[in-house]
Amino acid sequence: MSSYFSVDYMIKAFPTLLSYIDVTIIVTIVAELFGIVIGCVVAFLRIHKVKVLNQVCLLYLSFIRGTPFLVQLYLVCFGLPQLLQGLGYQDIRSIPGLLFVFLIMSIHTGAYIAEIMRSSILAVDKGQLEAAHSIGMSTYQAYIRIILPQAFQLAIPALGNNVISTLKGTSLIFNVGVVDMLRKADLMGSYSYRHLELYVDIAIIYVLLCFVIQVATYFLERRSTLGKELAS
Amino acid sequence: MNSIIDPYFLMEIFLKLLGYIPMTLGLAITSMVLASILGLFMLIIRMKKIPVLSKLAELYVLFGRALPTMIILYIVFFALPIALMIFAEKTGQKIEINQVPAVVFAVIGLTIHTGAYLTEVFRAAVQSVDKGQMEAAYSIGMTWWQGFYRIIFRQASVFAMPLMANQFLNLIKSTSIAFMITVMELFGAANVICADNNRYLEVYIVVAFIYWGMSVLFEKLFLVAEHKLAVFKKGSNL
Repeated sequence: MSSYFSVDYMIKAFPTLLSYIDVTIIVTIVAELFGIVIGCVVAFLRIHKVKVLNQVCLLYLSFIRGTPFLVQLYLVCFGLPQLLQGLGYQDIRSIPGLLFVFLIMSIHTGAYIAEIMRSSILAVDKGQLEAAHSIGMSTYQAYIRIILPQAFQLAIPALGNNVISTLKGTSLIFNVGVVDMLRKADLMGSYSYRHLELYVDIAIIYVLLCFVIQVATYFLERRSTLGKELAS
Repeated sequence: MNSIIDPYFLMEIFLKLLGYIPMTLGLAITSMVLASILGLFMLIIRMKKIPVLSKLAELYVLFGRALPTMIILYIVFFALPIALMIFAEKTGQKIEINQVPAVVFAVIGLTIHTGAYLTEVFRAAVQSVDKGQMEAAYSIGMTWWQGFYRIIFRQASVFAMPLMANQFLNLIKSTSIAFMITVMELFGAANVICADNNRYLEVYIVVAFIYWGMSVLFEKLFLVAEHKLAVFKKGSNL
């Protein structure tokens, strides 16, 4: 049995793989932060039915939700440099590959967050915006100070799910040359011929990360509902 | 390269890639059917609360949903041959592991992934059916199986339909990951073309549009189907 699956090797490789976890976490955080910004803007444009931009947003949402993330990743990480080169920008090599990954991850996450934020903003009572207007706030002020804080509170569970799916999306970025856990496992596996043990390690790491996010979401949610109860 | 995007080249790739759509859809449909069966099994195990199996089913749903598709596919791709090898050694049978096509691994991996999600979908669907329905079925002398099949299952399936459609759309997109384990589907074929001529931009644009077209088409189809099924929904007036 040990010749097929070595638990020793699995345990020995675990810390090495774990040390590459930072790439995964950084990409997730960056994608999630920019995604929230994009999502809020798109949600705003769609709710207020801003001319032309509303249609552009619909097209953007449809495209991102209708194509696989892997295709989007390749399109941006391999296609975009070619486009830039064609447009006359020759210094492609100086752009770090991680930048393209950040870009597409944010765009991808933004589309999904836009739908979450749209439903949360719509769930906030309409009178809130009117009340803010009536005391002289501009729409922008009303959104930042009144609507969005309430909308985020409603969106916490859905955003938690979104963070998990973003995290799962990061398992694909090694395809475009980012050295993360999976790439490291690939490299280590080609020396030791023990791929399975390494991938089981990574599976454990991903499950643990998902678990952490789940717990964090739960506590955030409880805290926000606690605040509501105290306020009322 | 004189222009950034050459329209004739786009057309050429498009026609070439169209031939790989059946492969992608075949993968998706096969996995969907198998995953539905798997999900139904898990649902029944959890509903009947079979001692050990029910815990295992819960664990499966947890892992199936927590793991990225990529990693499930890799684990299946590397673990299954080993399992087969052990099986061959134990029983003394000869199994040609190298002759198992990669598509089989892809279907198994995608089935495991989708099955976990479908189990949750089915569970939600069954919970949406009023509890009294089952009690009523018992009261007129039906067995659990009869009650489940004749009463609960049919009502729950109307509820589950849109969620399953959603899962199928996700699955179509997930099939693109199968190229990582050397399956020649739409995206795998695109990468081969890329390797031939180094024109990434055009090829990936075409691939993206094919996937987009498929997604939009199926979305519309499912909407029509849902509309037809709405007749059976609770509270709809005929």
